[in-house]
Amino acid sequence: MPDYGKIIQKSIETTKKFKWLWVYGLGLAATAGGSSLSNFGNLSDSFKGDTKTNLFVDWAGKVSPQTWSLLALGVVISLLVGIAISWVISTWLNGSLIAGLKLAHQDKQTTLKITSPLGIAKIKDLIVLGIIEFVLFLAILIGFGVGGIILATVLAAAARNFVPLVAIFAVLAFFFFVIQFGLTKVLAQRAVVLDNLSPWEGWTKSWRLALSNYFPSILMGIINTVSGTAFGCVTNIVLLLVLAIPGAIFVVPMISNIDKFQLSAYWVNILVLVILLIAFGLANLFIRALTVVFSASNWNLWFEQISKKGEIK
Amino acid sequence: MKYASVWQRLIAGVIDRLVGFTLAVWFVLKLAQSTSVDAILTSLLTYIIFVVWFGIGYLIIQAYLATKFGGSLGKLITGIEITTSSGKYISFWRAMFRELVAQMLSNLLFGLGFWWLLKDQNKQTWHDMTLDTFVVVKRPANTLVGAVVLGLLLLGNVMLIKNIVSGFNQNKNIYLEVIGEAANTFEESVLKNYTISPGE
Repeated sequence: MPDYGKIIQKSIETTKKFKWLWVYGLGLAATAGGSSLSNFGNLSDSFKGDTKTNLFVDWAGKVSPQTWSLLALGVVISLLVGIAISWVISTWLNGSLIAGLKLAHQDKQTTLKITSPLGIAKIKDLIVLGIIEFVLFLAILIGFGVGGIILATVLAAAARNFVPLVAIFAVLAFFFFVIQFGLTKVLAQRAVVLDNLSPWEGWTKSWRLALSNYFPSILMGIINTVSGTAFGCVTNIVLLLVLAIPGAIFVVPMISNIDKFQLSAYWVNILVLVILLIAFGLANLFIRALTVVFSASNWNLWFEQISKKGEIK
Repeated sequence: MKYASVWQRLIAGVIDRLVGFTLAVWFVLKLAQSTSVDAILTSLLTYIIFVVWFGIGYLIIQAYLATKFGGSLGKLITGIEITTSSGKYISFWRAMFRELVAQMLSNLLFGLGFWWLLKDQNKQTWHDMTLDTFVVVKRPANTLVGAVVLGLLLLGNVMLIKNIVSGFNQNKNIYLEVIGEAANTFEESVLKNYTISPGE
């Protein structure tokens, strides 16, 4: 039975002691926060309406196709550059944090000057690993989809009674693969950075490791998530209490006089509220940064333990 | 090796940003001086195309300048240079990485990584530390030149913005017409499609 307590204890000590690693945590917390903003829904559907001639349509017709092409090309290039930059940022920060944590666990220095080049050296490999993961995940999804359709067709014709049983089995198998995939992804980054393996070698080694330590790794993930979430919740509640009380003092007079509300009369209250909100946002980012470092440390130690079956000192 | 002070770096940084800003403001002035709906929309389109392409081009130029001459436009005017610990200029990709990737880290928490140079003995920011670069003073007298250029750019921008405001005031009716038309188009093509009739 792996000693999860030892891993968590070591990660807490590492997170507290090696403050330069917080910088990477900050970067990762900030960039991960941005990724959830991609859900814009079907915005294009909004413009399927009337094609009634108006001022804009008239004008658009007068603009040369070259101008529109120039705009489209610029936007496409900007988007591609933006995607590439965000990918490089996250792989660099991730690689630097993983490499920095290795040094921290050996009680060595972890300044930005020391750890950043280690991350930079792994950007290419981590990007290739990301592509491998994407392609494999897509292949598995397609495999499940096509396999499911074929199986459903065959069973519907031959043995209709087995359909629900096979469907349950297929869903379970799918979840098994998704979890196995997630674990492999986390471990493969470590295999590439810590063991200097090529992306494909790192992936295959991590796939085997995740498979042979499937349930203990899931438990590690659950402990990691729960402890990170608990820390985040507790600190955010404290933060809310600290900021919400002064906030309430400034909000109550505005709400109680809402029908006679005048911006000029309450500008101080609004300013204080904005400052409190910004303070909350920054403190929250900082808390998430610590959680990122703690979580990455746990996975580093877990990877070392299951790949070398080493003892955590 | 004399490290650049926070003031020298601030002047250089603001010049770099103001160059792009001034050009953008100039395009807005063109927009403000437009006297027909077609001209307004054409200026707006030109402005968007400019912002997109200038953003890409400006970064490449800044990285090239750092590789060839040791610094961005602002740094060259202010007489400061980016060097490695061995005193050489940084490579093109390193300069791109510094501008696009590493600076993101310094900008977090209201530029904490930039202000770190006040604390650091080598006056390094976080993005300097991650790439082991230093910003050194090459031509001390140029600090004054930088300050003057910065002052001129600020003055120029104030005048441009003043002209923009008066231009917008003069052509207020045309803008109201464009905004009204845009609101109508939005209402007709978007809201109409999403209105749920009582029968649905």
